[in-house]
Amino acid sequence: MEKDKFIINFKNVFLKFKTKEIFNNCNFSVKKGEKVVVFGKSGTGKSTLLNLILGFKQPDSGEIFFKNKKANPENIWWIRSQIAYVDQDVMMGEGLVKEIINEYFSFTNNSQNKFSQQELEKQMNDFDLDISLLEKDISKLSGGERQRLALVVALLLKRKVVILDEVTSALDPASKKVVIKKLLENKKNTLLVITHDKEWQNEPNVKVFNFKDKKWV
Amino acid sequence: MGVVEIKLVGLFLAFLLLIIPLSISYWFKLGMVKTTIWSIGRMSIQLALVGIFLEYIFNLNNMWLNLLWLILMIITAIFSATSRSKLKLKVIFWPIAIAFTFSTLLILFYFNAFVIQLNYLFEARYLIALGGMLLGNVLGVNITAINSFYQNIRSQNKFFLYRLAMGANQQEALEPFLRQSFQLALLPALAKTATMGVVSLPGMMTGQILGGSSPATAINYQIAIMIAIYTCGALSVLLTLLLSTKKCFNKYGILKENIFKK
Repeated sequence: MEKDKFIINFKNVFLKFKTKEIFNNCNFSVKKGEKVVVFGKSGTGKSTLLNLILGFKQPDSGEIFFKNKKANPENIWWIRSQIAYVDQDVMMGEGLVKEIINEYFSFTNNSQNKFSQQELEKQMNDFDLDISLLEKDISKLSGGERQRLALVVALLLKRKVVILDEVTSALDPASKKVVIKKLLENKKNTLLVITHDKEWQNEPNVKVFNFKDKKWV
Repeated sequence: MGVVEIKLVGLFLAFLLLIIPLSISYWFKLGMVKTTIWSIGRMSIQLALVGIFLEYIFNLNNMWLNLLWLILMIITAIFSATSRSKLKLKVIFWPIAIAFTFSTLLILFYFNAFVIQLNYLFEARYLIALGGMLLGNVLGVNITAINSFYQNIRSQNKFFLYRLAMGANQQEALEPFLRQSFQLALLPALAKTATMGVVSLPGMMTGQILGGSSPATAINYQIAIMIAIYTCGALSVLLTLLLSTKKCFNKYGILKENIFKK
């Protein structure tokens, strides 16, 4: 029963980069509906945690499970389709903003996932983005605007698990608050955030994981 | 109306023209004197040998010998492409070999059978001359396409991974990179095609006209061969890229790092 609730589960994971040990027998799990903040200095390999979940890297040994399915070549494509992911300095492609958004929704995995114009406008509004941006070339957007646009797309996909890599670090303090509040708003979603922003830790209802010591705070 | 032949003295006078670029290189310290002499020398010797050989082959006009010569040309193109590609030989050899052979033979025989409507499909002057034109282009566009495709995925890896994370399957994740490479490989030739006849008189047409063909015949050939060259280039790039992706990505859809030459 307990086991079914795990969304992300690392079992005895080892990973080394050359001589640097990133994971040494790491056991880490996130349960359904939890809001987890993985905290640590930059350069400690925090993003590796997400890269392992998304199958961008494989552990030297140990296993990673997503909803009790092992992250192997057969399952990884399904696992990715279950996760809304945004990373730092996200690169979404080239062209008009609205065309870029539509392209991501044209993927086979996302094609049943329709969104209405009102939904799009509401999400953009919530993230303090003007609707007129849709008609602009993405290269004309500021870094912060691009970051928030990626979050809008992630939420429009309506995936139940959201993982974010340093998405707030490029934002100014005002929009940082807006974005954090917005991302914590959905109680059902499982949220995994990698950050060195202190603002996240002060939120109630978040579990904080210290990456350096690999311990819950 | 026969062509006026270039005599040995004439050829010597042609070489004499080289005094101009060599002097420029010398005065401006371009460092190209040696390269110029070496390149022109190499070309002259190669062409002289090929000339003797082709004369022999054209006279015999034996189907097997013609085919063998064509295959040798394809093999040379394959090795030239693999050595200029930034990917390791064991990764890129078969994709290039299959793509070059298939697209060249298909377009060449289509051209000879249906466009020129030759009675004898293995006629040396058509098989070898036209095959050479197709291959020359195939070689160039494929090197551009392969190198830009894999380097772009590597340099824009963040973008590529983002697409995978968004739920793209392998092909969907690769689409923008395929687009970029096709455009980079094929657009320059198209731009040149569009100004043909106005800015430049293409080499083959010039050759045919000098060789005694009427401009009308030369133009028909030129139009048809330009279309064939473009088609063959596009087809070969498609095959090379699609076949190579099978070997260059791991089962998780991630670009392998060990495919690049050191």
